[in-house]
Amino acid sequence: MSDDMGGPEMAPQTPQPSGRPGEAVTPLETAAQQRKVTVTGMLLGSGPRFARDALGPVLLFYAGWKLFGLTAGIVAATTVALVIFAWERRHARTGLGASIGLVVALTQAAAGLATGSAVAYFAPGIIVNALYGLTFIVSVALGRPLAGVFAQETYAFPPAVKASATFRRVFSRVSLAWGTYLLLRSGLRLLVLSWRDVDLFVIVNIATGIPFTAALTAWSIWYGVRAFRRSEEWGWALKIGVIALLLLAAASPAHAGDAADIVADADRYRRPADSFVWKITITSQEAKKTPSVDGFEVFVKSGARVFVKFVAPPRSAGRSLLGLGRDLWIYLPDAGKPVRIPLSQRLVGQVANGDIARADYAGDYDAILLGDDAVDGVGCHVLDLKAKTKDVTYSAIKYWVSKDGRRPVKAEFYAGTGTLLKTGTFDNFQNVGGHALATRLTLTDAIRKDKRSVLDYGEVTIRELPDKYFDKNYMKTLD
Amino acid sequence: MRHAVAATALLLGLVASAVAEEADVDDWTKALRVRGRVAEEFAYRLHDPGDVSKLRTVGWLEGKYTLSEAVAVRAAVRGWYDAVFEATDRYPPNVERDEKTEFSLREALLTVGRGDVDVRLGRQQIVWGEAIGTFVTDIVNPKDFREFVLPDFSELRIPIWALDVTYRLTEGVSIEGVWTPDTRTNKLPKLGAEFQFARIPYRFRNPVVRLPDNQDEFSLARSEGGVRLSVLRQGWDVALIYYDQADKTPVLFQRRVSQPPRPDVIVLEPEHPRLHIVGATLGKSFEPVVVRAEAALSIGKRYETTDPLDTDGVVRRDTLDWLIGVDYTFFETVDTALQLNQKVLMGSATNLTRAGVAAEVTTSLSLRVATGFFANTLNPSLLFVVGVNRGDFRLSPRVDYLVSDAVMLSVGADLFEGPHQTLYGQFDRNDRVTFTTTWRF
Repeated sequence: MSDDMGGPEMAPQTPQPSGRPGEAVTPLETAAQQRKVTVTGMLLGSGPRFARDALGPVLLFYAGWKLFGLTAGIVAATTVALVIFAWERRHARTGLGASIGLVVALTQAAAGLATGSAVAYFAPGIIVNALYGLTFIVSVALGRPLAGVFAQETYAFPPAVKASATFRRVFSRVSLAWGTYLLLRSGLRLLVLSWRDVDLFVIVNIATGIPFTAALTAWSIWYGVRAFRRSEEWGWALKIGVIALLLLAAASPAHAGDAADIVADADRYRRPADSFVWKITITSQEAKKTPSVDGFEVFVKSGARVFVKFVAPPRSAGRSLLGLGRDLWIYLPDAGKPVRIPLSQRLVGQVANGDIARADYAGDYDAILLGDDAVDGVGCHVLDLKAKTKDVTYSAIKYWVSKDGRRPVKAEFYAGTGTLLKTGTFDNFQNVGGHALATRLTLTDAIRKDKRSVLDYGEVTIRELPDKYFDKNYMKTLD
Repeated sequence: MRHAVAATALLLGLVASAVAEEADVDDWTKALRVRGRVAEEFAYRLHDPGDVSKLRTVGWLEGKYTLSEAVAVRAAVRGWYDAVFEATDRYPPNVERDEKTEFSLREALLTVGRGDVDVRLGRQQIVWGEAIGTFVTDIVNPKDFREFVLPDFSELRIPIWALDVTYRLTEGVSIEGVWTPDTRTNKLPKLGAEFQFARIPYRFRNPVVRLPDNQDEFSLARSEGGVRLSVLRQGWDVALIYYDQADKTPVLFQRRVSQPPRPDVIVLEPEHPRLHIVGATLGKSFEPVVVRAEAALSIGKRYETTDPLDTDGVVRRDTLDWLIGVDYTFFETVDTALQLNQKVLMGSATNLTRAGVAAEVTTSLSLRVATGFFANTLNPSLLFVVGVNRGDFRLSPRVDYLVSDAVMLSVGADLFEGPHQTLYGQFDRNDRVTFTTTWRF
């Protein structure tokens, strides 16, 4: 990371308990989500990355600047930031810290190159560090502590843990500690930078960076472990961690195979054929408000290729969406060209782009069978779906599939932070062209239960679609 | 002429066979689709003195008739009437003539697809590039700068008559060729207009005559064209482009005309030097971050200079424009786009007078933030663009409110700050607030 020490990559590490609050937890479920964590282990595991991110760019900048001049220093530091970013992405981490670091690195490079000043080169990093500090503190006020987000960089917390009160409380305190530290450090560095002594600035940078962040990291882990162990919510789960690990090793492969089959079978209720056109109406509802209705025509081929045409209301008509695997473009008449967008961006109401553009849970998620449950009297398998990569709409899904016929029944969708985003129910099963299909999906906001979006799948035309429909350069023609 | 006849015959043959081949198609493809909108745009200038600067009623109508799955015709027209010229006498008659009313054909297009070949023939916008809000590789169409760069880009682009052919070589790889005899150039604001560009600070002692820019809008001899190769592999969306065109912005060449015994006259003659543009674009999603990059090298680019020793008042500076941008959505609701642009001149920028050129390397940063409330019926957004070299900037906050599915109200402002000879600073006294109602059908 090109911003020097103290960025969010130094965010705290905390152990992860297991289980779901308020529910009966099977041994297998506990096992699936339980891993052993120690302070030393996490420090040794993540410490080298921290040191690399914190020291690498700034030291390379300093060396390059002293030996060859400002431009060489900037190029060296920016190159390291790019390499770190690529490395993080390749290793399937969220890359959030690295992504922000890359943006900062590029901003620093622009400032340095534009002004020809080493002082100006360092200024954006300080400002961003101060903003991190503020963001940590604001995130606590918003009830979504940022430390929890960055903790995902080093450990994949189960959704139920991320949604728990203990998680929020622990990471709120940790966030406040980090926010205070980052603000104080930014103030000090700004003061030193105002003296325009780059050598002194680099020394202060290092002195207030690694030692403090290492100490704060150690404290965060120690505090997190202790707080989770002492909590009524998760303490018991941590105590049986060793037994759970043994159970996991013995049981999970067979269940993972079964689980994948169940998810693949359930996907068939959401896809009538290999190539088809489906008209979808989305009704977005909110208490005391008139429901809004959006109409779409969805063209699907081979599952992974989806073209979505916005047909109503008039303000949306002319737009379209193209999904090729996990790559997504939107065509906006005002822009006049397809524009790349992330799958997680909201399409309308509670519906994300990926809710329409992707219907391949079996391809996108690793499934584990958690146990059994009943939904409205229907016996269901309960599955824990974890995203295979970060390139999908949701980080995790808890999925209820009926034992009889393996129909999708209910789903809970989780963000990377562990926050429950929304719940979905599948119903109105109808026979379309010899296929039983779920023709209604109702998505309800996790917090505001009155906010709902109902996806009604209407007329289906099964036919072979030309390949060019799924070419971004053809989107304008299909308008 | 024979070539034109042959090409027309070929196209007609393609249309006929495509219509015949795809005659049996589903109902959805056979619809006549008509869309339109009517907007009332109001702007109030905040300085020197405060006054209404736009009171425009704009009408849009567009239609598409699909003959078959492979063949369609499209047409779009736009017209406006600006009552500001009745409300104020601030603007001179030449501006009134230029901006009070307009009726233009925005699209008249025949699209034909057969197998892996798609042909688009007619008046159209051809948009290249990955980024939003910039023209680095959006080079094919000339632009209408009468309202600076404030309108939507689809309004800024001037449609041209062109032939655009795309051939899909294989899945994810296509090549596109464009040819146009339509050589119209950027439309610039008249003297005294609201967004008249800062004038070049010449220091002539001799009398000066500026000739009009009156090149033909159509010319086979000066026709323009280029190719784009697009490749999509493993989510990496890359395109390479080449385009040969006349510079859409006129460059004022100087000539000294002697007329003894009176002093020599300096003649300023607008010309459009030929440019060879080589570029590349890139787009990639590293979920949840999207990265875009564009670069275009304009070979043959020329700029006016105030260097008194330069005989024609123009110097060549091949120019590299490039950008890199990242999009990220915070808290799953706040969309942000940060973009870094640079214009790099291959040579000294001393004495150059273009407002967008501050130095050999001119850097700008832009940040766009947008979110939605109440089921996306209330959509605030903010655009901030700053010229790093001299600190000039544009700040455009806006709130769109969807009154119904068809009616939208927008309230916003466009604020400019900076030294007078900079891109945004030249409109330092043109800060404005805007109010727009749009009805779509």
